[in-house]
Amino acid sequence: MRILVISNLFPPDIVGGYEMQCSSATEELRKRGHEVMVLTSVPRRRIEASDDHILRLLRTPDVYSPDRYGIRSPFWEFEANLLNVENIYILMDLLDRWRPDVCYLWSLVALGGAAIVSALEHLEMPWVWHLGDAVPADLSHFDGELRELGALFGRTWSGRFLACSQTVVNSVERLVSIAGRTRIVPNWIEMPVANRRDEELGKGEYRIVFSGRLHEEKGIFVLLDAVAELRARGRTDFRLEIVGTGDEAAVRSRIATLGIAEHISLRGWLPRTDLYEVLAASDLFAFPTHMNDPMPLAPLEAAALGCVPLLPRVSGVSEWLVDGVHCLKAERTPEDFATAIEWSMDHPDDLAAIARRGAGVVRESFLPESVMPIVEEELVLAARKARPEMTRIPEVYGIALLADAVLRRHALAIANRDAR
Amino acid sequence: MTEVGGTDRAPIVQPRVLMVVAERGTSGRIAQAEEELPSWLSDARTHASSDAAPVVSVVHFSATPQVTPQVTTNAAASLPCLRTWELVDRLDRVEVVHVCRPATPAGELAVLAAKVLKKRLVVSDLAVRDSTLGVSVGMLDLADVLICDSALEAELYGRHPGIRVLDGDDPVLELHSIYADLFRTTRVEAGRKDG
Repeated sequence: MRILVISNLFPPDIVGGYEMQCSSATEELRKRGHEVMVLTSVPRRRIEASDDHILRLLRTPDVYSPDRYGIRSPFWEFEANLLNVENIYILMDLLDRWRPDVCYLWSLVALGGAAIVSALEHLEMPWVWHLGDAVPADLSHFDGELRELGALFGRTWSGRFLACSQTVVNSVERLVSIAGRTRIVPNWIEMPVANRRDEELGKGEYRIVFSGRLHEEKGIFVLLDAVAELRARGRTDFRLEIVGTGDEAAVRSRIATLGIAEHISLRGWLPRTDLYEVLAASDLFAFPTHMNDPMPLAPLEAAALGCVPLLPRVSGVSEWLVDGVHCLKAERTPEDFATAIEWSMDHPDDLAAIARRGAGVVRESFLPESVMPIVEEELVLAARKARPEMTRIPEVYGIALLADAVLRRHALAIANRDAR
Repeated sequence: MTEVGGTDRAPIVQPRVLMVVAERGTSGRIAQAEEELPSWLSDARTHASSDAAPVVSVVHFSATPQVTPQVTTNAAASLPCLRTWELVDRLDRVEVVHVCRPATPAGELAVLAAKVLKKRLVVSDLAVRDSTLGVSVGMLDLADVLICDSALEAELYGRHPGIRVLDGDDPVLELHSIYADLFRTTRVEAGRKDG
């Protein structure tokens, strides 16, 4: 089967886990004998060597370059979400030349993603959209000014969706209706390798680890406050290692204010192999992420290495693991997290049993061999029903040109209104 | 689709047509449209040549340069007053869209909406060119049929494959025939897909 993957980013040009999953899916499909082409964006930095099956041609406005926000086009928002006419031209050209059986969509933010999907619809080209984030809603949000747009997309987009959690489906459904044609499949990980030093665990300091972006939404400040709460309860026999980058200044400031520096190690960014060593040497992976987090991979990697995830009761990853069986859960408050950490410190045997079951469930359900057959099945089903009308390519490009002109006129009107 | 007909004969299917009369200009003025429009436009919705005659609705649409373009009423014609998203809803409920005065900001938007919704498209430019933006990017090529009132006007459009001149005794009947042809084509294509 010929599969055209479309993703805004593709490794090594990345900002998060979504494009890493896309890369993994691409490789897995290739391993299964499919012919896969990836259409992605021009990288933000030169990539020395790139594979023949990866075409880095699509244009993006400065959505992922904070330093360039001030110099981006006044039309960036509609180019990012609705339409980039150059990208439609490139896509039409590729479809015409390569004739895929199905398009496999990932994040289309910054590519003018709405027009990409609508163009595929116009050609009756089958597509399956893998949602590791609420992308259809992101494309139609516009600060709530154009709510009808999402309803229109929900009515006119006929493809199927794969979503990594119900959390993602709920986020999308606020604007775009996808229920009834969405299959929930989890994110997956490559099995991490590290030596678990069980004999060291439970001895000396209790080791807690956090890995993720140092930002409020990932819960780093909830966790620091939980550490202070533990101290206030008289617990001193633990250490928290923090891996990741982000708002380091605010994190340092909070640590100083709380007076908990002696319990904290700030490790910064670590290569995967080093991160795995840290996880394998830790008792608990404390991750009080926000309730709409789609499904981060770090808790799965921790569980695979026998480090028990402590998760908020509500979030994407929390849907997949059972409290007290594969992980621990707590309300996303410093007090509740402190209580859960304390329990885990006082019940090493129970924690060890949870760790074993957590590692087991990852091996059973969250590796590529568990998930990819479902993905493959959806792609095959979509391709089987397809009768693309490639003769409509000139018309699609004509519509894109007209839409570009009309949207620019209105974007300019909005910019002028806002300037007043 | 609206299906009518008795039990002893095959169902007759009527095409539904939305005629969108784009307001002129870019300054938000309501044009004195009625006197500028040909008679077939106002007659199109009332003419019923047969049981299978198209069901034609007519709305006026204004796209003044504001955040949310509006469908506005033409007071003289007492046509419905709709918001833009209501226009999209209305377009969604018909098989054929006829945009009058496409070379206006409102007309360009109406053509775009019709095409995004994969509707069969008829346009009549009525000698209005308030905006060259759409025409400059080939907007008229998106139309299945381009209605002209005279052969002279038709010459302006060169080799557009869908030019039709309303030069018979009954332009409304000709118009309805055009709608019906487009509708039939749509159904044939849909049938081919389903089959």
